[in-house]
Amino acid sequence: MIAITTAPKGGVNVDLPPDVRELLASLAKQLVELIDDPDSADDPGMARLFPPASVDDPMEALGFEQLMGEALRAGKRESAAVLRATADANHLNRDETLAWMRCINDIRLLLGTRLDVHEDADVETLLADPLSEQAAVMYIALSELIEMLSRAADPS
Amino acid sequence: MSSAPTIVDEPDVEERVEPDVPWIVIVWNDPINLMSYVTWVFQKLFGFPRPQAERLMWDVHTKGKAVVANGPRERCEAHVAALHGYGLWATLQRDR
Repeated sequence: MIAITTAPKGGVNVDLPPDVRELLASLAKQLVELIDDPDSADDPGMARLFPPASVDDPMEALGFEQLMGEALRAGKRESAAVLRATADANHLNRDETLAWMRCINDIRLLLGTRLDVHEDADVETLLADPLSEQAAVMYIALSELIEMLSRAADPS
Repeated sequence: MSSAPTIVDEPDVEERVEPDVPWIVIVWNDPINLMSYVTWVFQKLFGFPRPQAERLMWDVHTKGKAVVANGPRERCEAHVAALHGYGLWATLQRDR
């Protein structure tokens, strides 16, 4: 059974099989390893996680990176650490829910960029190809988790 | 063009007194972020009621981009950083 529902006392209740929880924790760990890998600067997935803050002003984008870059990397590390620490939890408080959403979405962005997803139809094509089927199944599962979290979590 | 006062021997351009040109924050459409998630982030970050957040999300989705905030540069930079923290692609620029 896969379900993430609004918890009456705040946060969300998480009903996920152990293998999904293990996978999420493992992906969160890999995400941090990639963020901390000095050779990942050219990775298009990293470029998607840390996009330029200006479309036409490289100096503005550079200034933003110098000002905010480390805090953004720290935030993504922190979300991943919270997800790993709470991977087995049946209830997430508000902050933990937020960390799950941010981290799972980061993993989706990374995976979607690597799979070169441009529109929904692309996922169907990826599913049909044995070479990309497994990654596409994972991408769809992460999408479902984000859908459930967005429905269950209180944004106020 | 800019009518910023000329200050000689002032190397710190960030501190220069700028004319009162507000900055804007733009969120760009992307094929990966889910509509439900983008709506949720707009509610969370800007405190928009759900209908307003949905309208904004649809603007991003159908027009390719939407202005989600404006104001002084520092505040817009903070908004962009917060949006990047949630994985949305946001940029800032002067509102000319």
